[in-house]
Parts: sequence; structure tokens; C-alpha cells
Amino acid sequence: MVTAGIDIGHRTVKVVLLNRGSVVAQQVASLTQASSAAEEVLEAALRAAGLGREDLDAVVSTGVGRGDFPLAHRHLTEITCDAKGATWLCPAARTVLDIGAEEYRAIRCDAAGRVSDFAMNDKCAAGAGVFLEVMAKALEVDLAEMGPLSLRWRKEVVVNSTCAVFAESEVISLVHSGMDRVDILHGIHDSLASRLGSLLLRIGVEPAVVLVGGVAHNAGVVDALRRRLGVAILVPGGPDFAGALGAALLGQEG
Amino acid sequence: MTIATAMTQTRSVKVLETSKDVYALTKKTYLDAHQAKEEGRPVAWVTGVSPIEILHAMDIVHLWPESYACLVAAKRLSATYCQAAENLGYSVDLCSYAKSNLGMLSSEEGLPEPPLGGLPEPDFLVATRSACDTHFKWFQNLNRHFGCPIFVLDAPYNVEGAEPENMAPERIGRYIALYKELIAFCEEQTKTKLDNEKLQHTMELSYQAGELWQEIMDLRKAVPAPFGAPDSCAILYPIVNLAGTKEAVEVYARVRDEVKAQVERGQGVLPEEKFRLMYCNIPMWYNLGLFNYVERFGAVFVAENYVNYWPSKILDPSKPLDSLARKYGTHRQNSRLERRIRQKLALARDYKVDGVIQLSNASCRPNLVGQLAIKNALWEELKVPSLILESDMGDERKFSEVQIRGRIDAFMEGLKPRWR
Repeated sequence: MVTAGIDIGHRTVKVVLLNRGSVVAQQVASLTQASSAAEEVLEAALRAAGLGREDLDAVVSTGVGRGDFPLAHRHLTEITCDAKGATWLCPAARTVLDIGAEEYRAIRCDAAGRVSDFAMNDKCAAGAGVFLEVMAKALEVDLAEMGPLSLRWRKEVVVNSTCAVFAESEVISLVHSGMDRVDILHGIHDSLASRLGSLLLRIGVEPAVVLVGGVAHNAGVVDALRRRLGVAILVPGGPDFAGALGAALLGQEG
Repeated sequence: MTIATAMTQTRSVKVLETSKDVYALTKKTYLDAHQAKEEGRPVAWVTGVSPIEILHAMDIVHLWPESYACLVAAKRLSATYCQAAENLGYSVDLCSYAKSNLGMLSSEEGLPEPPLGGLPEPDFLVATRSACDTHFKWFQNLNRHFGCPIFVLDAPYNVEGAEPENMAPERIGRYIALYKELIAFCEEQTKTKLDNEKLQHTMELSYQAGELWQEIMDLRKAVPAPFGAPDSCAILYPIVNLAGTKEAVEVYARVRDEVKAQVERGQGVLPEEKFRLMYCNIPMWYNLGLFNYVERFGAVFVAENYVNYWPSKILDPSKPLDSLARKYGTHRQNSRLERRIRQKLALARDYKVDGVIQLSNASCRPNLVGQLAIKNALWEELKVPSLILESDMGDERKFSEVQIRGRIDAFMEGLKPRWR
């Protein structure tokens, strides 16, 4: 049985192809125009796996654009798919945190990846990927470098603002006051972890805690979360594909 | 120009024919008030949870700006008036009912015509703090705006979390003293004495309306449920504003008959009722269609804490003021959290609720406080999960359809039947 999971997020489209329970291809692309871009990513994944569209038994879409993908047989929310994907990647997962570009989600689930509770950010994206992008730009640091750099911090710097716009001006004034960029980065990650930690505590933290989504690549955020919650934070390989993987897995279940 | 948030389906779909009768009565109340004003009869504006039976017994035409704010929001005009209030300097975070009302009084140019001709100007104001502390500050501003007399009923808080039946005698005594002051104030405004016999008759009518309301609510325990939240919102006005009138009794008798017949036929909102939901907090009046949105998942809202508090058993017409103290002094918004949790657990159990949707509505702090404790209690005691949505009861600028629907979708995907 071949199933495709397609996660149409705010910034990127991710596709995972499963053949008899094994991942045979995964593809990601930046989102330009919702439907056509998503279809191209699916085609690319099929080509990579040496498969055609006719081989697909089920296509399940998820993500913010899930309802606008005509090729999908069904669509499911990121909450349901994240939990499924994360527990497949880390079977011990009982709490899943997904940090996407503009949304972050804390999910409690059982061993089968069934959701028992969840909470999401509502009115503000300070805590999501865009917040880090804005900060990287303000500090003139490459996004991929933020994590490793911040781990070399020496001095505690507190970034108070809970709003991405105000945080940017706060960070710029910290730069002007002569603070080390590395320490500021560390403070930024702590501020992010403080927001995410509160969301997680709202639904209750049960180990193992698994972090997925693009921001999981940032080692500084992982470290800040570990310190904030006092528990190990597991990051599976390919954390940004967890939602698409979950969708493909749920496609197998029918 | 009016401010409108993009939404796909805002109007709700109702099942009860008699809900139209209730709306006709609601509309008539506002139109009659305009008529009364024209004829020179006094009109009062009162806050929620005021002892309206006293006003009915004295033939005082009274209107609730907050009930009217619901109507204004349902007509999609509330955000525009809220904005007008903010332009006057009121905080973005102020209650959207208050802002809707205060914004409507703004002299700002280009504001839309309010529905049903607006509210006729008050000759006097009655405010309590039984429901919230914004009420009397809001009414103090109205007092300044209109320059008319105001009575503030400084109602004690039900700190013990007492039920109407076991309210402490000294607390009842305090309410009775306040009601006597209110009666004296109304007598002075209208130059008419309260007729005690008439008050007793009003209490009898209030009792009958309350009994009918409870009967209608109890009929919703049937599986499948005969009606959902769109109808309970549509039939609410008389029990809140017209308790003590024969019109309320008459219309609810008709509603009861229709609902009863439906239950006897086994007719539900949906042909197949998979999930029974409860809604907590005030509805989002500008998008009552959201209550129908869950129907695609086979779900129906069978209970709402918002409409489930109008006790009638304790209303003894021979002791009107004692009865009013018990009724209004124990309103859920005037009660400690433990009692509010108890009430929600009872509703979830009695109505066989599979899941709860709560609105995190910063506009209404008394309803907002304790939502997480309520969620935890529902889960720990009954294994009933809750979803907490974030928006506002009257200000649609705080509503995001994509976010709200996305959260409901996720909640429904994970929901399991609890009682079957």
C-alpha cells in the first residue's frame, strides 16, 4: 500500500511517501502558490521513489492549506498528524511540541499517537519560527547558525518582550548597549522557551517530550526548553516531516 | 462604514418554529419601549442580573443594554461601535457589550443606524454588581452622559458558593434591605407606589416562566437532542428580560409544546447524533453559525452553562423579596469558582456530554476566570475533554475563522463518545 502525506504549512510544503509502512521518499519546498506548489512537491517525491500517481492508494493532506489540495482523499489537522508522526518516530513520545513558522502546538497523546489534549498559540506568533527569523535578521546571523552560536553563551541576558515587533527593538537596544550577540541569542531562545513552556504546562508535561517542526533544528531552542522544563527533549531525524509522516500513516489506516 | 471580519457562515440554522415567536416578542419589547418614551412614560436602563420583577411589577419599561449588545453583534454592527468607543478613549480590553453601548452614543460621524431604532434614552439607570464590576462603572459613565439618576445595588458576593435553597439568612436580609432601597428609588422616579399584590402576581408569573424554562432545558437531555445552541440562544431573551410577564409564560408554553412533541417523535437536530457537546461562556453573537459548524462531525451542542441558570423552585410569590434575593444573589457569575465547577460537572453528567468547548473571552472576566480549573475538573471527574477557544463575545475583530475552525477540527478528530 502506498500512501502520501502532504503538509501544507505557512512557509513550506512537505511530502512523505510510505510504501508498506516504510518511508520511500520525503520532499520539502518553499511555498509559492498553494495548490500548484504542493502538487509539484508530491510529483517530485513520486519521481524520487520511482512511483507514479496511479500507485497512490491514499493521499492525506494536513497543515493550514489542507483543505485546498484537490488531490487529497481526506484532510486532517496538524494536531492529529503531528501526534501520529511523532509517536512513530519516537515511540516513547507522550507530549509533542511542534514549532512551525507561525504556529506552535503542544499535544498530549498515547502510545498509538491518539490525541488526548492540545493547546496552540492564539493571537501572537512570538514563539514560532517567524519570531526567530526576525531575530536572526536583527542580529545579522544566519538562521541555521543561531542554535550553535547561542550555545557558546557566557552571560545571562534577559529578553522580556513577548511580541516579535517589540522584541526586535529590545534586541537592537541590547546590541547598542554593547551586549555580546551570542548572549543575546541565548536570551532570545530562553524567551521563546518561556512561552512554549507555559503552553506545555497548560496541558501537562508527560515524558517523553518530543520536539518537531522546523525550529527543532535549532539546538539553542532545544537546550532552552530542556532547562525550562527540566526534562529531556527528544528531536527525531527529519523533525519538519512529522506532520506529513503522520498524515501518510493515517492514510494507511484508512 | 461598518467593520466586518471575513467569515463564511455567520447566521445560525435553527430547528424550532417557535423561536420565531420569541424573536417577535423580543422585537416588540424594543418597539414598545420607543412607544412608551414617546408617550412620556419613564424608561429605565438596567444591567444584567437586576431584580427585574420589581420593575415589571411597577410597570417600568426597562431595557438591558447588554442584551441589546447581543442583538447588535448578531447584526454584525458591534465591532463598528466598539471601534467608536475606542476612538473616545475607552480601552481595547474593555467589555465589548459596554463598548458597543458606549460607542453607539458617540457623536462620531458615519456610524451606522442601530437595529430596531436603537435604545430609547433612559430616564433613570439601575446597576448591580451581581454579574460583574464593569457594569456599575459603565453605568456611571451613562449617568454622566445622560445626566439622569442612577441607583447602584451593591450586591454582596456569594462567597460561600451557596445554592438558592441554602443561602444564609443574613445575606438574604442584606439583599432585602437593598431591594427596599431600590423600590424607594423607583417610587421616587415614577411617583407611584409599589403594589405588593402586583409584585406577588409578578413573582407568580416569574415562577411559571422559570418552570417552563427548566422543563424546556430538561427536554434537551433526550438523545437525540431536540434542539441545539442556535435555538437556545434564540429563545433566551424572555427568561432573562421578561421574567414576571405573562408574555414570557405564553411564549415558553408554546416553545415547550413544540420541543416536547419533537422529543416524543424522537426527532433530533441531526438524524444521527454522534457527539453531544457543551458550550461554556457567552456565545460569539456575530457568528452563531459556528454552533452549526460542528454538525459536519455529527455533533450537537446540547447544553450551555450560559442559559442554564434561572432557578424557579425557590420563587415563592408570598415572599417576593426573599425569593429575588435567592434567585439573583446566587447567580453563577456572583459565585465562587467551586460552585461554578460543580454546576458544569452536573450539566456535563446530566446532558451526557462527550466534549466541552469553552470560550476564552477576555471581554467577560467573571466568565473567563477559572476556565482551566473547569477544564481540569471535567477531565478528572468525568473524563470529558475540553477545548478552549480564544475570541470575544461581541467584538468580531478578535475572531479568526481559520484559527477557530482549525481548533474545532482538531478537537473533533480526537473526540470519543463518552457515555455510549
